[in-house]
Amino acid sequence: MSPKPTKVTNRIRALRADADGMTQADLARRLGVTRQTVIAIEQGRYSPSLEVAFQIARVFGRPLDDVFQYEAPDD
Amino acid sequence: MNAAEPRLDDNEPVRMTFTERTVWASVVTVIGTSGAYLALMVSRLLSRPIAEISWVGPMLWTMGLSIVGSILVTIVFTIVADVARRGRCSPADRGEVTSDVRDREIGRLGWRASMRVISVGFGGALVLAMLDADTFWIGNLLFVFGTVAAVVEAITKIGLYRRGF
Repeated sequence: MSPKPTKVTNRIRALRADADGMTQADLARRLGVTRQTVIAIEQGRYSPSLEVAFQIARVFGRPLDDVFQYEAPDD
Repeated sequence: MNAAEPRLDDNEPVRMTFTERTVWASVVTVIGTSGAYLALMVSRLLSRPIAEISWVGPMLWTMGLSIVGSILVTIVFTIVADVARRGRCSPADRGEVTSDVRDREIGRLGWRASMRVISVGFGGALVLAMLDADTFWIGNLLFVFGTVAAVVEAITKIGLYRRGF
């Protein structure tokens, strides 16, 4: 399997599960994006814009770095 | 959302977005129409002198058919996708967006890739004009690079949709 194109990881799937099993479609609707975009973000195939990242964090009521983490090359 | 509609869960198959479908539709159409045009031109080139080759009409028809064909193929792809949903309402009917910031980013990156090809074609056409080449060669060089640019743009976008970025 090819490496993920982004070093940004996230806990969106776990946070959705904690939020009464919020579905990808529910989250997509709240963010105003397609479900395919939510899936791409969850799987690390797309780094969202800063604005969308903040919107996601706000949906879950968490600070940004609770949702997204950055794997620096030195880590 | 309709209360009678079954709750959409994460296990529902992921289908391509409307915007990705239009990319597939345009690349399929452009390869078909431009391929036919180029095959026609090659066959004419092999059988008669350049001065006797009629190319303006066929090229305009090819461009027109590419535009109309892309629209028709998109409609067909959309109908096929709706039938495959087997009665479930489409994302748009559920109040979901059909195109978003990721589509726009992919569109911009695809356009940037096509511009590199277009600029090379323009340079080539300029050189041919400076060399006083026949308009057949100038027009068709631009056409070929336009076609290649469209295909490069589509491949770039499909790669970004599938592989991520």
